[in-house]
Amino acid sequence: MIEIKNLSKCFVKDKYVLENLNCSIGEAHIYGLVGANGAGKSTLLRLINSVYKQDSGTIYIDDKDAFDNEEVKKNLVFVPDDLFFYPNYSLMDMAEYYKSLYPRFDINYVINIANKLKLDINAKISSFSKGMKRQCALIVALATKAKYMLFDETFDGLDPVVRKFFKGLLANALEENKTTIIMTSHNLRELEDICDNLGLLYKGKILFESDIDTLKTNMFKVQISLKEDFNKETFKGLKILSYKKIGSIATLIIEENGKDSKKILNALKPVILDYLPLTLEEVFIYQMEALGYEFNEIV
Amino acid sequence: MNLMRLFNKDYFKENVRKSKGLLAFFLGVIPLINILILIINILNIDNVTLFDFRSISVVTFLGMYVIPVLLALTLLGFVFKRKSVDFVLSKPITRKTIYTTNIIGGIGIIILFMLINSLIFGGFNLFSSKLVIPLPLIIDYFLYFVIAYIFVFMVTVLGISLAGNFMGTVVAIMIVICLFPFFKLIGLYYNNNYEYNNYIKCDDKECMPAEFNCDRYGVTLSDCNKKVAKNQYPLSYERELDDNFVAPLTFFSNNGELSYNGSSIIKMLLLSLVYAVVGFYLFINRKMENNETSFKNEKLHYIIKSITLIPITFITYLIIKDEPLIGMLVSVAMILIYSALYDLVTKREIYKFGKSSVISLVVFGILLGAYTLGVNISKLGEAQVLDINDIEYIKYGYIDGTKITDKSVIKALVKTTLEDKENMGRQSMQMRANGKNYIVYLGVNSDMQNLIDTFTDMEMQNKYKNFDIDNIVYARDIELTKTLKKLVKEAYQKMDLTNIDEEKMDEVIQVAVYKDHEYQYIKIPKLINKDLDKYVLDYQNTKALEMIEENDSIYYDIYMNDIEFSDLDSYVFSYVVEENVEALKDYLENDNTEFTNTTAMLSLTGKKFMHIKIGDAKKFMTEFKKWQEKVKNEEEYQDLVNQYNRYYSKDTEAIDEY
Repeated sequence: MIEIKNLSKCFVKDKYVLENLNCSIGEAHIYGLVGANGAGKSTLLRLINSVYKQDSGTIYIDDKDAFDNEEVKKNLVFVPDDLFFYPNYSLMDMAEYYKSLYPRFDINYVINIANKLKLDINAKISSFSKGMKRQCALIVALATKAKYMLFDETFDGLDPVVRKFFKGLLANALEENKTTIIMTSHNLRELEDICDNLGLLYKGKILFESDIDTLKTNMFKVQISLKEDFNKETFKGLKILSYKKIGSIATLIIEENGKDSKKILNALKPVILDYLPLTLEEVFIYQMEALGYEFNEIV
Repeated sequence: MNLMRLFNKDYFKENVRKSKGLLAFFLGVIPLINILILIINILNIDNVTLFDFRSISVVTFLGMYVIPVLLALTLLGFVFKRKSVDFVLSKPITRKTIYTTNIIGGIGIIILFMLINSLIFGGFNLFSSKLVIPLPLIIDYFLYFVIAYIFVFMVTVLGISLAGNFMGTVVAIMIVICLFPFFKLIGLYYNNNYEYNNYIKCDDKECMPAEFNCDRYGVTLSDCNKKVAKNQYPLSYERELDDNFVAPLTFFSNNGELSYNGSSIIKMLLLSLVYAVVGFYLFINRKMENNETSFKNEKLHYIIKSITLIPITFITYLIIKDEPLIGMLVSVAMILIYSALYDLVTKREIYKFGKSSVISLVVFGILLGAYTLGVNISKLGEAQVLDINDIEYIKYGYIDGTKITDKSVIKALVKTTLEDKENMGRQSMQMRANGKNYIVYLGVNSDMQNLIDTFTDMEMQNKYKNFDIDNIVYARDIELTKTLKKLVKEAYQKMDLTNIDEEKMDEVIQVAVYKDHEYQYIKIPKLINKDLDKYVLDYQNTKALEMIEENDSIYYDIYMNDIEFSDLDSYVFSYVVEENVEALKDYLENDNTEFTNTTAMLSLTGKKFMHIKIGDAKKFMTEFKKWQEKVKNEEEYQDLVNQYNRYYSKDTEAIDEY
């Protein structure tokens, strides 16, 4: 369990990248962290990993202070957005390096996955393409069998097939090792099909946090038309996040919150009643709008 | 304590492995150059080469500015790039372990590197009879440079912990190493700025002048009279730089000579420890986001730049002092250019040009004011008063002079100078008092010269008496063998050590020991021990014969006393001998069994220079005449005779007429 309390970090005096951030990430979850450039996603990951030192606040991992704690770090692996490999190192060299530092590192895993991806484990990584380098970084990170894995812009540079392959590997890690994965992205669609929790980082704070199932099953887009004239007030029994009416058809975004909206709407004997699924992006847009933010400013 | 927490072997192995090529190159280059120099010495030098601290250290000394810096950058330079910071610090190893591992490992590499160099010197000393590199010298070399390299390594680590990029580190290194000595330099400048004389306090008869008149000195009379009443007399002396600078600044001390310096070693060792501890705290608390620019913090950037302006402004102060108007214009331009260049180099951009320039100029103005004020204050300051009893020594003769440590000689010297009955010219001499170096201007009259000579003679006797004859490491122009050592010792034991006068010694062999970090030489008269004389002659003759065998000699000459040897004979000597070289060899192989009172010295000049002592000069002359007879009718011989007659006989006549 990662518990972050009142975490603050500024690079320039009084300009906080993260300010009093609070967050709690449970075990065996894939947590997606979204936010615009400069929102503080990478900084948060670096702070969790002790790359940077916080100005104030605490980060506890499995009830231990995480900063510069070797025991904690043995259970943590971090793949940053900007990758680094030692000059002239091959994937095998990197694997050996990781093996010397991570007690559960599985070198056979590296060989096995590299073979599947047709990566030459003895070739210099510097000669690889951007996508291949990302594959190398992900493979060695997964081979650590660390309990917590942090990925910044996880799938950057990977083609859709490889992206899918790695999503599978992440899911396996979660299932087999009860790994907790935190991944950041600008792209909500990318996180949608793999994360079970999402957090939205905005101006140094977690603005909104929820598990994806709840988000998706709790919110609907409804198109409705009634025989008689109607307005937003007609649906006052429901929590409406958005209301738009064009002609005789209204489009509503409804948050269920335990209420059975279908039952309430059917009671109005609608001429048209369509329930449409929402993409994660749409869910976020309406949630943010409900909180008074313009989503385009945030992501 | 868990050692793994201090040194993580796996991490260090990988950290070194990533730059193994570069490290191997730089660490290998110095030993290779040393090997080359030693080989060249073996091939090119005729006799025996004695290596001193300087000659074995030059390459290592130059390497000191590169290798430890490079080593520190290889081990901890990852902090300059965000990518590598992410990579290293995200691994399960703490900042403390990263620091201590790299420090311990770096020091280990330095020790290994120095050990390799020392073994090279030791190996050559052992396997080549032509090179003399005594073990104590190698130990001195090892100790001095291990500490010096560790010192530079630690300063670099400190710089890395402070700065965000390479140039920032260079600036930090310069500040850490140079700023304190620079302040000492300025202190010295102020110290020596006092108008005329400093004073010496002497309150016993040995040094008090019988008569003293302040009028003769360009000092304030009232001050002088007051001081004289307290037995303080004007004497011209001024402070000099200390000679215990850290190795990278050694060119400031010992007249720029590279030499072993114990106090410098202790200083470097202590400073390294301090830097290691400070570096540790800086590193574990380092803001790792500070990279790719010297200092992210703007204020810190300006503070560091202002510190670098301290020495630069001092230079401009000296310029302005001589040429106020032009100097000021040039200085302002210099400061503006420097300010922009500094920003460009350390932050990779012209950093807020206007603001940056204004700050630099303001700092320049303040410093300039401070320097001017400091000089004026120092002029008003009290003259320095040195107690004569605090003088540790006065060195007579600037280089390799005699250190006069005897208090009564020192007092007599000062007294003579203060009395100055003969209006003597002053000689500058090195003086050491209270652990500080001075230049003192003293008058030496003939009485004083005699006193100094007596003291020098006494020192000479002491040198001979205390000479460590059992540990000779070198004999000039001859290979040092066990037999030679034994013969030299026998000769030494026969010497009258109470009456040594090197100038009167004849037919000597010079031997040396390495003691107290330097060579000490004495001369042993060979003739005291006939066996020694014979041994040396045999050696020289064997070598000379080898030279003849190798046809290396192109010119022969002979020196002899009490034997008539005409100018013509001298002129044709080389030719005659060359034409009869086989006969010469036969003669030499059978000579030197007995020595008469009329010995001669045959010299051979070729690629090498060698000489042979001829046992019986008369016998040799008889042989020479026979050889001369043989070639007398040769055309070349006749030409030589004609040449001689043409040029030399006329000259002789002219001289005779004159």
